[in-house]
Amino acid sequence: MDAAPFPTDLGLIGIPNSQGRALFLNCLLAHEIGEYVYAKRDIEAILATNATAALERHIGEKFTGAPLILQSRMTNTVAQCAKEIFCDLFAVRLIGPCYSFAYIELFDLPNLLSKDGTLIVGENAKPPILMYRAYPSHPFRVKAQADLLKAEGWWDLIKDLDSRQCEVLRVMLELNTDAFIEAENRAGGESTPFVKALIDVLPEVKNQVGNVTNGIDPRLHEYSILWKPIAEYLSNGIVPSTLNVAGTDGTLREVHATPITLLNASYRFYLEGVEKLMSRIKDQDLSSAQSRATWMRRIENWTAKALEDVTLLRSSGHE
Amino acid sequence: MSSVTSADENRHRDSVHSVLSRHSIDERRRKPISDPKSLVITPLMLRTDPYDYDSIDLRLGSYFLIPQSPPAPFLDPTEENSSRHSHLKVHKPLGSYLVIPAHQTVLGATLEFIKLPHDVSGQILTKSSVARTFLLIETAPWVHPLYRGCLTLEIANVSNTPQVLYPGFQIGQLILIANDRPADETQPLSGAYVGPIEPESPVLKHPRDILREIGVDRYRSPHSPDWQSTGR
Repeated sequence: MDAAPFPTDLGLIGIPNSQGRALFLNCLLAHEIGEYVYAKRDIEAILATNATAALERHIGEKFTGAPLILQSRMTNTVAQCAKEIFCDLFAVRLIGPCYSFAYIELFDLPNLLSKDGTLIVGENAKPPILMYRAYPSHPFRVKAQADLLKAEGWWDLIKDLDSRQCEVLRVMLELNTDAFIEAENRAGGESTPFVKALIDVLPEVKNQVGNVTNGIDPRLHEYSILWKPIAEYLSNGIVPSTLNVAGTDGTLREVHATPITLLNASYRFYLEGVEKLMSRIKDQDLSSAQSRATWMRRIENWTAKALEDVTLLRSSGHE
Repeated sequence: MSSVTSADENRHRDSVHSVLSRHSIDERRRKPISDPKSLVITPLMLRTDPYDYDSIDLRLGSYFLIPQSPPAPFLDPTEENSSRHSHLKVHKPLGSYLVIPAHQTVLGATLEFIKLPHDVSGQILTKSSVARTFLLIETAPWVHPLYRGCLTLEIANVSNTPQVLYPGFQIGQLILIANDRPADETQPLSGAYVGPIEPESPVLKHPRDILREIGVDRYRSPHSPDWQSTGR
């Protein structure tokens, strides 16, 4: 018997086994959904056109006079980098800052900072941030995410978060794009045409992200109201799927947060609240990495349970 | 002896071991969690009238620990992690099912996550309709004040036929009983079982430590024929 054909609109996403049990790192899946949307909406064609124009501006005759195959390769280099930025920004639009927190965590980017929170690599430090043509650098990608978080209004809601994840975002927000230079041209001086071309394409990347995510509510308002109650539930060791929240008239009402708000608020607590939680538990050593890991895993479990609960509650008609 | 009692004493006397009614349960569920009298039960699936007169139905969750023959011929608390290695974790999502063979056991958990008030204990009982199929869900039914977590269920099929479990089905009922004195909510919580969301293997104390506490000098385990000191 012939097998049914593989559906053309079904995407398969593979994740590393090591990532599977860590709930918050799975926020990175939103990037892969972006890859699917990118292919489905044929955004590559649009960004390639922009990349070609940008390369003509920054390389001039060396680009226009080059053989077509070389031109194509150069265009593709910029467009591929733009695609990664597109998918990152799509993810941020889709699920908010929890994507950036997961990104910074997975790639261990707090190591970009010294112990006092300043950037180790940057425009005023040596060495500057290198960009390789094969792939946009992590700091460059985080900067693009931080810029979007600020433009969307998220930054005002998370900037006081007590964590090095947030410090990385802050430092990247303040960083000038001139800090990024091409590793291939490092010996040759200031020439960074590919980086400049990529920066020129970014407005169109943001434009396309806006088009494909038009109508998605980032849940900023809900987050601004519910992140503290969710943190209070978690700090008391309680799954935050049913919240009693005071309304504007002071009366309590039962609320079920949306999954996006749960993810962002719980990730926030995961980053800054584990010590508060451990202080409620008998015989816990705050300096023990093993103990901290145990309770961080608990926070992930409670968040996963809350996500399952609110999904079930909504499917059964609860608001 | 004075026949006059204070208002506090009267209140305590009135509330000693009284079972919470539907009204009290609902009232406590609506309190902020900063209030030590608050009760959390989530998710509560029925939108209207989720309580019986004096109890709350609890549903079966979707994670199970199935006992396995351990690598050793017995489950022995002197062996580190022996209890953890003796179970197979299984996830049966809502809409799926799990078969328990006759005379077999499995650890499950409630779908509902519970946090009890500081002045209330709980007892979970098998729903009568379930019990009549000779399925028992709980052998350690008591829940202490301030407990938080999904309740672990020691499910035993004591019938002669295999039985099918459906996650999401109502399987037990929780009775809430007011205590005469509240527990101190400012005390740190015991860490061993804080906030489980699925069945967990038991945390078994080493017999050496327990025996030492009650003044026993030496003990033997199946792993060694020799007497060993408890360190007393």
